[in-house]
Amino acid sequence: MEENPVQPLSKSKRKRLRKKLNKQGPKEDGGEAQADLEFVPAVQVEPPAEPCPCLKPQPDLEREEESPVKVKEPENTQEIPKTEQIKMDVTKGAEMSREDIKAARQAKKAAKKSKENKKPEQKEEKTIVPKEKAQEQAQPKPAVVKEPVQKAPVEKIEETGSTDKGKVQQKSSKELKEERRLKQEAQRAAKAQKAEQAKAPPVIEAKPSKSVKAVTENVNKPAKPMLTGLARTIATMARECARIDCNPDGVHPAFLQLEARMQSRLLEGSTARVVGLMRALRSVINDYKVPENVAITRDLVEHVEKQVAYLRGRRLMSVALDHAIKSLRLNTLAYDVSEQEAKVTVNAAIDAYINKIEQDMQSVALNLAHKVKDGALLAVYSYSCLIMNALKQLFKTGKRFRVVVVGSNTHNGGMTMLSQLSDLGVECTYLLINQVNFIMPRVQLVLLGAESMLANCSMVGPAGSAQIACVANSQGVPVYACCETSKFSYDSHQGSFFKQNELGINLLFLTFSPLFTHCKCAEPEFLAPQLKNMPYMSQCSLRCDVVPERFISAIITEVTILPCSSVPDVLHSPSSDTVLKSRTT
Amino acid sequence: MSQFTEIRNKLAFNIKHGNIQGSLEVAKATANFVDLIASSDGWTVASDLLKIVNDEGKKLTTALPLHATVANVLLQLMHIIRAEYYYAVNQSTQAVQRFVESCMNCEEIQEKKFSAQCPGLKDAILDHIAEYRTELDLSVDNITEQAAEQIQPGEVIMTIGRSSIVAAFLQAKKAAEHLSDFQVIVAEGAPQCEGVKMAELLAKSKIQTTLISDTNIYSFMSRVTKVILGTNLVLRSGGLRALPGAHMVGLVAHEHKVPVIVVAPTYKFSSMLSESHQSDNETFNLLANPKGVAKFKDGIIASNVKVLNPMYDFVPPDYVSQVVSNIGTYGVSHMFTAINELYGAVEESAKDLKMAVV
Repeated sequence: MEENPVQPLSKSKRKRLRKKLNKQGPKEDGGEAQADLEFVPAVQVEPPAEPCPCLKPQPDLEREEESPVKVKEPENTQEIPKTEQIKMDVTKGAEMSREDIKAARQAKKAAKKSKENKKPEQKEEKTIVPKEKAQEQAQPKPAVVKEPVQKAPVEKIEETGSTDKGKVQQKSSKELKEERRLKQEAQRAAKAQKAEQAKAPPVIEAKPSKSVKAVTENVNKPAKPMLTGLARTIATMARECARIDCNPDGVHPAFLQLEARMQSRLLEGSTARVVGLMRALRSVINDYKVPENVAITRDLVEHVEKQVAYLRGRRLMSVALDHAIKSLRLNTLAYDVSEQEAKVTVNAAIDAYINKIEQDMQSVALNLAHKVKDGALLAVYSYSCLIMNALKQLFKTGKRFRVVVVGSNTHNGGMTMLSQLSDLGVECTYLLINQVNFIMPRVQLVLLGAESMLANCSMVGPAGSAQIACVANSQGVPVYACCETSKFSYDSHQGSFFKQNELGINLLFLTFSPLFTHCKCAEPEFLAPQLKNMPYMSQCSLRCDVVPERFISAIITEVTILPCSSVPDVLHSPSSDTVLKSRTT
Repeated sequence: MSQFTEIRNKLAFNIKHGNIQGSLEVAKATANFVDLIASSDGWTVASDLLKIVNDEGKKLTTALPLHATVANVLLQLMHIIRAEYYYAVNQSTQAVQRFVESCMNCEEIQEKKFSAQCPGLKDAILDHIAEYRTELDLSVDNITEQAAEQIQPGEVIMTIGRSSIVAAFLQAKKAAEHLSDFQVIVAEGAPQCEGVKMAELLAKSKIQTTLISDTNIYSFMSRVTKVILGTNLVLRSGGLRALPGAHMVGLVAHEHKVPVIVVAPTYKFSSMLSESHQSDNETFNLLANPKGVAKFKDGIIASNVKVLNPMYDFVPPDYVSQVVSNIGTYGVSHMFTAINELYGAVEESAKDLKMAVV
């Protein structure tokens, strides 16, 4: 299906792309698939533990959900041969991350339960919470899920994902293996029942939202403690996050999954997010059907906006994502365009954008090469698809360097980076952000992956970036932000870190934590799960950081290496994309 | 084999295995040990006593490389012994005062070698050690008394990791004024993440507490009015050897012009010298096993990956505004003098430095 990173490029496109890439820079690796998918480290990395969260093919869970919901006619799937897809998925099964497996497993359980007790829907809603508990208890027995359930109604999948994830437990590797095996069996069965699946009756989507409401109501019952100052701010933010547009009604499963993957940081790095978004959009477009008597241009824009609003409601939209959507220019479609034509046009635009991202990444790598001397010791923080790709390029062109990967204990971006770099054969050192001072005096260069550059020249990056930059700056180590110009933003830093920040899922303001149970993915580790509901106690882990201009020596873009102060110039330059000219909302 | 071997081994064992927990208890146990030595009949002149304490101390600190408190207490008590000797010889408070304050007299003392017979020296020394032990007992109270001066209502205080003395400091403030509405932000303090325990402790005493991840220190600092840090050691320069992350908190606070207050009783004052930032970091740090940094299941067992887990962080004196201790509140620049008073002049304790610096 379209989500798969290998699939979207038709052969001719691949050739074209390869030509372009060859023009841009020398490439050692001759392999075809290798060449045009340089930017997809995920696909090539083999370790089963965590492929690459960034551009990993989206798990087939989505496919299972998707087809019964939206695909009412087989013609929607005509563009890509499905059998091939499923083969891919089966082989990929082993590589699926823990979260995906869990989600799938829970979905199956839920489906089975629903089969067993064929009670009216309303009853189910009422008893949803105890049911989940029952499932939790039943978890240790793998026998329960032995037979794969294929006709799982979609809304159950969503529901379990939403209510269960908060309680995700640690699992032994044995269990995981078992799950993986089951998953694969399921996929094999899925292959066989593909046709059936496609014909499965469309489902009613109202249910998940109801369950969410039910949960929320339950939550509001306990008396709220008096909150002051900071705790109040966090609580407000948590509530906002839980409230706005979080209603998953009518949101395409591809987007629900995208949101889950972002929330759980399976999809890490802004570039990876853009690619993920584009792929999700393609699913949306392909499954889109114009209602009668409505102009496609209007309705399609609305339809897409609805999907995007869901992400925005969860504070998951970033500048890069905004730009990506604007670049499609959905509102400029001709008024009388047919549905099929519109789909082709938009699909082409999506392909073009993804191609552009690839090219940008290559150019960034070339620019970075000027700054990395042979034998240098670089420091990188957390995971950045862009930096990973650039370092890979450098390493392949024969440059030798060592890398200090700085991670944090709240998310495993650093670990992902580490495993990918060490797989390449780069000599790596790993430590936590707290300990970075220990190694900083020896580091020659700090690279930060930017989520976006703001108009006041600040950089938005993953939480912790500012600290790394601050330490580097205090010791005279240059800090380079890696950022494509498509991530430059007209917005400027509001002065508050809370304004446009995302709440990490493990940032549960604990007294309100049940509000988050409908978030689809929770990280397995809370900051302190045992302190749930403790009065006078709140927990917070923000996801983004704004790095002030003064800490950053230069920005490495696909155009050239720029000082931070050039961000406004780039934004206003006549050559910059008109898309950028409009303010992001 | 001296007569103290068994006691020393037992002490080392108890500290190492956590039977004696917390630096205050360790300090008390060490002082008891020295008291035991001083009250024994194994010595007649001060030089003998000093030799015994030094020998036992060396063995003890070698056995306990992670407990700097032990070395600090031993050195401070040795200084007390010298001071008492000097007083006994000269019978003048002024002379002792000179001895305590000045480096100039070192040579003079060296010549005398502490070998003169002085009647009443033993009693004086025992008295002084008893006084020292009382001081240890009262150290927490003496520190928490100052909480009211340091924390104003409405303040937002940040700290990192767990420190019992900081917790006591904050709780004292809370207890003193039931309505005082200050808040505390606790950073986790990876890899040990003891900040979680700290936050729990504070929340239990009804202080509005926010537990944040270490990555958010910068984000939250703009809302913080004061940083209060616990520490492992306070160095002569006023710099700190503290748990990982302290440097970052100090730096970010410095960046935001937020005052950093260090809460440290005198047994955490170290005679260690600190020179440049670089050498500090490299020489006095220890690398622990990487358990807390990377989990085994993360599967990074590759030949080209090194996982580092430095145990300490060096906080330069520039980032510290004040040191609150049981003998008063000092500015950083005053630390040098304050520590000299505890250990004697630089050269004096330099002889014993091999024992202290582990």
